[in-house]
Amino acid sequence: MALKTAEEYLNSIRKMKPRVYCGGKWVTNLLDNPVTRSMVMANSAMYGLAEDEKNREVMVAKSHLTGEPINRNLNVARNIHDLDMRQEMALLTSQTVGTCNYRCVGCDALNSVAATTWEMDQVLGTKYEENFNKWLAFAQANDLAVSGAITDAKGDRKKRPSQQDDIDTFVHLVEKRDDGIVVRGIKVSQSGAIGSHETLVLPGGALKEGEEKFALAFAVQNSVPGLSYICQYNAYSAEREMFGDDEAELGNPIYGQRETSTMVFDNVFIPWERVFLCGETKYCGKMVTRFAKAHRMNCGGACKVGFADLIIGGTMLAAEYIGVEKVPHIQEKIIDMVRFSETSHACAIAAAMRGREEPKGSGVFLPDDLFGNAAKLNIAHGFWEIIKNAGDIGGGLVVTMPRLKDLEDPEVGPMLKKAFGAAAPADKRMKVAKFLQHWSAGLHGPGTWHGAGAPQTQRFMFTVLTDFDAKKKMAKKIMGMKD
Amino acid sequence: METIAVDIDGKVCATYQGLAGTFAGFTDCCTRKQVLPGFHQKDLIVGAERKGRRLVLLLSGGRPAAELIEMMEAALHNMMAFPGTGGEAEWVVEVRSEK
Repeated sequence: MALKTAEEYLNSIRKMKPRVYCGGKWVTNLLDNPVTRSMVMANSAMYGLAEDEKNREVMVAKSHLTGEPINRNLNVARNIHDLDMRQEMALLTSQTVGTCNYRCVGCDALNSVAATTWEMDQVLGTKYEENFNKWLAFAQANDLAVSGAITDAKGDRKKRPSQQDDIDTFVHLVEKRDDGIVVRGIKVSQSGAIGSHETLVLPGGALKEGEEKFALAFAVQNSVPGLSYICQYNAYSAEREMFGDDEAELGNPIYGQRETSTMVFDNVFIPWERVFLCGETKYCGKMVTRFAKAHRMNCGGACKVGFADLIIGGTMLAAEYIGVEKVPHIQEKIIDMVRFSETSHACAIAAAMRGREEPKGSGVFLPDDLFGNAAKLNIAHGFWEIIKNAGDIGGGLVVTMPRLKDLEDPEVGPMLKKAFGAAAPADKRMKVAKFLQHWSAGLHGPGTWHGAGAPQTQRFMFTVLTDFDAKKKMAKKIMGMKD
Repeated sequence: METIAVDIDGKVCATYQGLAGTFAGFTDCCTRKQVLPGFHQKDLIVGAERKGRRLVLLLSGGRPAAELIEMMEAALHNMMAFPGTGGEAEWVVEVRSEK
């Protein structure tokens, strides 16, 4: 079986028992808890997309290991077309669920691991690529949902990992055994691991000589004993719990806000066959940079563009429902929303089209770094503008509205219908307002800002990747300046 | 890949296939962590001992074979080992329940 159906994924996840804590209690069944269920349902939709023939070009790829059709979320890009379809997948998945494709980080992580293990084996004579390819072929054959964990808790940012008062703030090696390694520590802001089969764990950043114990990359099953997940909890979680199965009340009824967790590794054993880097500090920076290169194209230039499409659609409906859709300044603001989002998508397409094999001879294709960073930096700023305009056009109702259910109340329902009926009935207007509340007063603003790295990291990459001297020379030449 | 046989009351009742290292991982969970994957209660494992290519597991409670089969299916699924075709198994998990 190379492609699971959405139902097969759900059946498989029903049997998984990860140790998950959410909002004050341990979750015994991911599908029974309304918060964790939203994450699982989003993942299930990803499987569903691959079932649909019309999405095949985007969602299905051919394994370079077996030649079999596989879900693109488990594909290692081997050419420009793969890169282009990868970013198109990010767009399609966001447009479909309005939240994370929780297999996305894992996909970009596995491309980075493919490139870096190949390089390590070439240079160091290790067997990491062989391990990785066997693991990947297994994941592809069983169409596993693989998430990615990169960001360590990090502790005091002034100190290096080994200088921390508590080194558990970084995932690290505890013991090397004949059959594997034992690891402990904490990864944070991890999207969707709870409903995945496995997580691909990467180092959180570049490391120096002497920091070997923190240089780790491995794959881990999501419910292995010793691994716990502490879910994020916020007003949206509480709201979802309060409404339980009555999801229609919510801004994104089925798929919810983006669900993340803090992953705690308490002396977890990882067999050598699942270890893809152990102690090679020199390659940690490369592994993380390659991940970021892939993820900034997809997260910045396509995923958030899919979100923007939904927000723009909702905003236009809001304008129509109060009869202002033809007002010039409203139209101008909507055009601005499109401009921000399509500029980022253009950067993602450019990053894919200018992608290249890295390292040479590996067969792995990664996007162009500068365009990928431009995609992410542009949307980090643009997304605030987009949700600002959504709040602007959506009006005060976006944050002042009563419950949708109140429309059915025999006493206040008629009053609400009178108050909020406009060019469309009150129920439609309020439904759209709730949708826009989900975006403009929800978690996605800071999520977009930080996801794939906060903008300061992209600014840094701009300084590294841009040839400023060449630009100065061009200017001088035009001006006729000699030196 | 590796094949793991589940032996209950002296009879192989199922085989599972997983990535190489799955048996080592499963054994570590049961022996060092004293936790059966997919089951978080600490008092489930009464005894767990590695004997060469076998893991001998004694679970608490007087559980019938059918329940043990179901539990092992869940435990191995949680370690990403899936029902196999019954070929030669390199590893055996021998399971019994307290009388």
